[in-house]
Amino acid sequence: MTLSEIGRELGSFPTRLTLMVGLFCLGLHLVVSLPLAFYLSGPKNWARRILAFLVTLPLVFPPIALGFILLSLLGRNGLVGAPLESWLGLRIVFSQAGVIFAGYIAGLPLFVRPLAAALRRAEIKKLTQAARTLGAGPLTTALTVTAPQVSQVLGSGLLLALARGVGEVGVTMMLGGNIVGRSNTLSLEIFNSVSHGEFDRAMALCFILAVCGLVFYLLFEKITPNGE
Amino acid sequence: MVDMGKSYGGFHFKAAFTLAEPGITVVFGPSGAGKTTLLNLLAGLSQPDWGFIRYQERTFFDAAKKLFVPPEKRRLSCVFQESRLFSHFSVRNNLLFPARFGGRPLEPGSFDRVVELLGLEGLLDRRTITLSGGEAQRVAIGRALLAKGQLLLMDEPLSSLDRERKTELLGYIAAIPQRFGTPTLYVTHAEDELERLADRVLTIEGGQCHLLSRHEFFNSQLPLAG
Repeated sequence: MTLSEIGRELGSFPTRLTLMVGLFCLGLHLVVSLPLAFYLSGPKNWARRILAFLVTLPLVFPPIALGFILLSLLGRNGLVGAPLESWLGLRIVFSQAGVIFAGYIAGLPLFVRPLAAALRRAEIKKLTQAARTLGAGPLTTALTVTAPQVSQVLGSGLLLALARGVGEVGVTMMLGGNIVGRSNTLSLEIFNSVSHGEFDRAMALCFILAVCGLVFYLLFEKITPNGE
Repeated sequence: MVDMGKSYGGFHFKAAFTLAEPGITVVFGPSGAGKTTLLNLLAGLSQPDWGFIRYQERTFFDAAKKLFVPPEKRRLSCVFQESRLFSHFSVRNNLLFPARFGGRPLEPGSFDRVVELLGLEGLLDRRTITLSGGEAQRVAIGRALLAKGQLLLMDEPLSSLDRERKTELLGYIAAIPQRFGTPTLYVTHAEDELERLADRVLTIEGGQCHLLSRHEFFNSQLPLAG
């Protein structure tokens, strides 16, 4: 493993794809997962129970198996995939959208579950009530009181979800297809290198991921100084 | 004017009264009688099963019309048992919360008047977690006053304080109706607070309410638990 090798890999397609997956996952978590966590923190009913189960699935179900089920659902002839393609022209399977989706759902439980639990705490509910009586509507209250009060859980959950999402392999391989130049993320490229016997290249890729992992860890420690 | 009810966990709460103004109406009754329930229903933090709530020509709740006005639109200010200050804001920014985020702009001079009344000058730039219990509750009262509610609801605001702090804060609270003209509903189960503050008394026992004048209350022979 040489420096030039690492440099070359830094500018390669898998690195750029992985970075893009990370950015899209970040956006999706903020736009979709955050409201989802707020919703799940409400009183338990059937809709919430089912949603909570689906959110937790990526933690308790093997990624390869989950990937295969999603592949069947989202494929061209799948229950969800067929209408998506004919109505919106959106093709998820074997595309970068599939890779992003895989990274997103892999990180979903790590962000949503702790956040929903924090939002259910009695003291958070009390502060939310106080803000409402002071004239702030539900959205203003969520942004100015609730979110800042759970910022630690929010930040740490987001970091873990992103770290997990960009390193995802099982679902990513099934949904993205590990197609070179289209859906081969850094992690998958390590697998590809090893299977071609390019061990130095695999090591260079590991080095890049290790540095990213260290940065994630240091940020995580900074957000949660008490290790919570 | 209130005529409503709510049932939960086998407990049936009923309230029917017309609030006379101004001054302080003390809501008095033993623990578990439904005092906090009443305040939460008035504030819009929970919803009655039946009946209606009207205040100053406005309907906040009407079961028949399926009408429920959310808390932020009722313009009722609340002080709770715990101060419920926002720890990510300074004392000053807690006081300014209703003006900044609650759509309740400050009237000229009102900020200084509240700060002076409650003795908050030295606390403004402090973080809320560094405040003592009494200081925090004073800030909470100030914040509620600056939310300019047409009715001030206070739910045992002194119950977590020691005797000395309590006496001091009672003085501040007694001055509120006169200084700000805000009618106040003050929940307590402590007789000394009732005696100090009450212009009227709303007794709650076993989920039933009775509104009495101060005179009527002290002359009544009703055995009221403290």
